[in-house]
Formats: sequence, structure tokens, C-alpha cells
Amino acid sequence: MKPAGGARFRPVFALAITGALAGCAASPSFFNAAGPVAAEQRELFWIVNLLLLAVVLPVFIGLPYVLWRFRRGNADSSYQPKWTFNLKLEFFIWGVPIAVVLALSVILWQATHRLDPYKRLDGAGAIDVQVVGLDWKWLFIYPDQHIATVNKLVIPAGRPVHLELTSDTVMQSFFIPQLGSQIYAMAGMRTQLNLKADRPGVYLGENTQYNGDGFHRQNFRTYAVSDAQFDTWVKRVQSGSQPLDAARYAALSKQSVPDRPIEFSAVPNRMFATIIGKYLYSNDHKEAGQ
Amino acid sequence: MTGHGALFWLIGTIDLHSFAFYRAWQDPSLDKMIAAIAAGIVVVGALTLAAIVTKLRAWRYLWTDWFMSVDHKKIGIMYIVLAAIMLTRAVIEAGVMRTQQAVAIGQSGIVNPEHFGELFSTHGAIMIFFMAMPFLTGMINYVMPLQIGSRDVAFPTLNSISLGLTVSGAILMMASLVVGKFSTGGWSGYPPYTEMAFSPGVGPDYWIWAVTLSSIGTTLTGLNFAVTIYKMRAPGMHLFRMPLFCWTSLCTSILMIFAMPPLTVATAMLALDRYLDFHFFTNDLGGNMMNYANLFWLFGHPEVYILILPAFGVYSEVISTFSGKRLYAYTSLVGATMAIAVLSFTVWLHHFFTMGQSADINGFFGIATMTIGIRG
Repeated sequence: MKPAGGARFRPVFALAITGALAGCAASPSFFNAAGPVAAEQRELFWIVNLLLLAVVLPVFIGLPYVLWRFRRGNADSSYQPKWTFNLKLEFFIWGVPIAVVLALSVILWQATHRLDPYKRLDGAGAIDVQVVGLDWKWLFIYPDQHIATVNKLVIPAGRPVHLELTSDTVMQSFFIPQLGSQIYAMAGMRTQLNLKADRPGVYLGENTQYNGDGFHRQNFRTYAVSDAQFDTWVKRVQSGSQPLDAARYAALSKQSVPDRPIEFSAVPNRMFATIIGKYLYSNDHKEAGQ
Repeated sequence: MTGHGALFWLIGTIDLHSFAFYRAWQDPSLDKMIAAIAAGIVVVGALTLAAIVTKLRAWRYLWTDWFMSVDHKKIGIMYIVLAAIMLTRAVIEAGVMRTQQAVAIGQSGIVNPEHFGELFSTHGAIMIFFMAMPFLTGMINYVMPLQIGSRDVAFPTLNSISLGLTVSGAILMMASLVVGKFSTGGWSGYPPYTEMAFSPGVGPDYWIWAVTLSSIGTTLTGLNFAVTIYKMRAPGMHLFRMPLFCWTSLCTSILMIFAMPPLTVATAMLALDRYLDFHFFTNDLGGNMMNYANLFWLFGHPEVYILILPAFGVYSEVISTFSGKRLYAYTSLVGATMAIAVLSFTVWLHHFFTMGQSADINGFFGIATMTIGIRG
């Protein structure tokens, strides 16, 4: 099949892609990646799309061509009502998709392992953050710094961030598109996510699993800052006068959307484990999905 | 179980606030008025229809010639009429949701968040269970027995019962506009959000019973169609002489038989959780919502093919007929369709790649998913 109209489609196609990319320039999408995970996901997105063109293009170009070429009014083309099979064509029809899927399978298997959200990222000075999904807000506990925040995630740019997640209410889904990968947070269970910001900036984070009236406002900002700024920020929060005690946590657990981010100067030891532990009937399903 | 008066035992928790009209009268905001108008359309529509039927003195005709009919063609038409009615509602809902999204930038818009949650839940449930499936079931009902040269389906009365179950589910969906409120848990109704602890209202109950009735009806329909195709073909109508639509109908029937029971089980378990404290999917006491996600998508993915395969069959028939040509590669199309019926049960996990399972498992289901794509 020689696609005669191929050249005509190319400028339109290029225009469409340019337009789509221009729209993404300032958006909080993974197209505008700010970390290695999102950058690799964006690369994968284009590889998969280009490979799929091998299947899509012949159909999109060939179908109108065949319809026009074999139209009733065209006396030049043959009419073969009993033609139902062609072995060569069959090899083409099945072969191309099989080749594409084989190629994709190799890419997928490797990428799925490379981008496993549980896999630690390379780099020194990793920091731990424990994330608790509440209605309708996110609580971030910094176990090593003994501080906590609500709806504000501050991370040092260039250093790996190891997130542990759970929920103290219904299922939620944690997603910072510009840093990549999404993971569920479920009560009584612990999931993990490893992210890294390449450069300082402010990135939108959100819950993508519907959880009631405040769902659409359950967003937070991720501030990727320099090491020095991070240390200064930690010291400032630590010197505050508002620790996260039982009473404050109880108030936080109620359904509400905070007007602005909250910072807590101290958190009880093992608070994250306590939140998971209160749902545990036994220890047999501590790890989500395993 | 004390502390309830005689009235509770008679009518449960229903009171005036259960009615959309009363809520709008108490609080005539735009959101409540929209709900009341929707309820009004249901009530006025039903009354008008009843009045017309009475005027035409057509009750006896409708009852004996249609509702009690076991003729596969009439049942097929009734399925399609049901699908058209439900489509009308779902389209209106889509219009309201899109309007909300267009006008609610930086302000509250025309409906409140809870109402919006109800809208996307009913829209999703209706489009899948009460529009797309009844439409395709109706079409298979009408066309398939004619194509294989059978006088009717294998179990005509069961066919009528399946229709009755589906219509009952649809009536529940319509009733939820007038009395009470529908679930806000989406068409997939994920717990623990839909558990008593987080959704104590009647909403998830409407969803559970509407979907359960529909899924039981669809299971029976699948059995009916499969037996019809296996056993009721006219002499000489070998399997490989059947029109392609019959093959895709057969695949859809097989999928209905094996995919609907996990849904029925999931909704029944959720009902046990809500009414009898069973803790299958709750946060505490050993419940695990991941089991629900698995059961639901064990149904939900084959459902995709339940909906698409008959449509593929229609394309194949219509295009080859109007091209005045025999269908190209009939045998490999049949093989591919049957392969989908099997493979569609091996990919359900791709609906929750982000639930924290290992890369090996995600990789396996990713490749299985792409393997299905080859058939396209």
C-alpha cells in the first residue's frame, strides 16, 4: 500500500503536535517534566506514540484511499466480490502489530522495572517523607526532621525523595504530574513512591481518586528548593509553637479543606506507623498489593 | 433494635426531606431547583405516558402483546426503547455536567459538589448498564435468532425475565431522582467510600440494587444467547457459516456468563458490609478494598469487550453488505474475536497499576493488555 496522500498530511500533523506542546509549556503536566521519573515517562510516551503510528498511519491513510480508489463510479478499479483472502496481506496485517507489540513489550518490561515506584532513585542525601491522605487534605510528616505540614510539600531539589503513603480515610491517589508516577494511599496499608525534582520550582500535587465534596480542592504545592533553603525552612518550622498533638490531629482528621497550608513544629514519634496500625486486625496485610 | 416508632417499621427513614421537590421548596437554590426539575420530568413524563396509554385504551394491548410477550423481536425492541429512554436522561446529565464545568471556573457554578458527584455516578452507571448494554442486548435479541434461522431464543421466558430485571434496575435509577439521593461513588462504586462509615445515605444502596438487578439479568441473557447459538441453529448452519455478528454475539454471551458474576458478588459483598457489618472491604477489622478493585475489574474489563464486540460485528456485516462484497478473512476474524474473549480475562489489573503491586505483576499485565491490541 503506497499512501499517495501522505505528504499532504504531514504539515497538518506537525502543526497539531506543535500546538499540543505549546499548550503544555506552563502546565502542571508530565509534558513539562521537572524530575527524572516524569522526564522518562514523557520520553516513553513519545516512543510508544511513534511506534503506534506504524499501525495507525496505514489505517488512517489507507482507509480513505481504499474507499476512494474502489468507489462505485471508478471504472478503472476492479470489482472482486468473491475475493476474501490473501496470505501476503495476512502476514502484513498480523505481522506489523505483532512486531510493534514485541518491541513495546521489551520496552515496557524494562521501563516498568526501571520506573517501579518502590525503587529508590540514585543520588546522595535522600530524604524521607510520610504522606497521610485525609478528607480533604494531605498531611506530610518529615520523620527525620520531626516536623509536619498540611498541603505543602517542601523538598530539596536534586535529592531523591522517598515517600511512604497511607490514608486515614477512604482510598486516595497521590500524584505530582511534573515529578511523575502516581500511587494509591489506602488505610491500614503502606505504599511507597520515589521521586526527585531536578530543579527548584513549584509543582502542583493532587488527589486523583474521588473522595467526596472537597475532592476538587484537595490540591497542594510542592516546593523544590535548594539545600540551604530547605535547612532554613526546617529550622523555621521547628522553632514554631504549634506541635501536631492528638487533639490537633483529631481536628485535622475531620472533613474540611484548609484555607492555607499548615506547619507543625513537632510530631510524635512513629506517628505514621500508629496511623496505619489502628486499622490492623493482624499483621498479614501490611504491604499494599503484596 | 429499640427506639423506633411504628412509622419507622412501616416506611424506614423516609421523610419529607427525601423528596427532591420538598428540598427545593425548603431551599430554592439553583442546585435544588435543577434537582426538582429533573424529578418533575420523571413524574410528569410517567404520568403523561400513562395518560396517553389510557386515552388510547392501549393498556391491555401493551400488557398482553408487549410486556408479557416472549417474542425475541419484541423483547429486543423493548430493550432498545429502554436504552433510548435512559440515553435521553444520560445526555441531559452530560449537558448539566459540561455546563457546570464551563461556568464554575473560580465560582460555584450551577450545581453543588454533592450533586455533581451524583451526576457523574448516575451518568456512568446509566451509560454502561442501562444504555449501552440494553441497546446491544436488544439488537442481538432481534437479529441473532433471525441470522441463525431459529424461531426464538432457547429460553424465551427467561429472556422476558432478563428484560424485567434490567427494567427494574432502570426504574430504581429513575426513582433516585425523585426520592432520596444517588451515590456519589462513581459508576465503579469503590469502597471504603461507599461503605456505611463514609456514605451513610441511601445513595450507594440505589447503586448496589440497580447494578445487581442489571448484572443478574445480563448473566441470564448471556446464558440464553450462548445456548441459542450452540443449540438452535437451523439445519446446515454450521458454526463457521454463521454471520460474523453471530460470532461476536457468542463472544459477548460468553463474556457475560463469566464476567457478570464477579460484579454480582462484589455488589452483594458491599451490601453485606453495609447492612450486616461484614467488613469485606472496610478500612478496619480485616477488610480490604483491594479485593473489591480486583473483583470489580474482573468484571469491568471484559465489560469493555461485551460492549465493543457486537459493534465490531455490526461494522463487519454492514460494510461488507453495502460494498457488495464477501467479508475479508472471515476465519481469522473469528479466531481473533474468540481470542479476545479469552484474553479479556487476563488484563483486569491494568485498571489499577498504581495500587502498589510489584513491577513483575504490572509488567505482565501490561504485556497481556498489548497482546489484546494485536487483534485490532
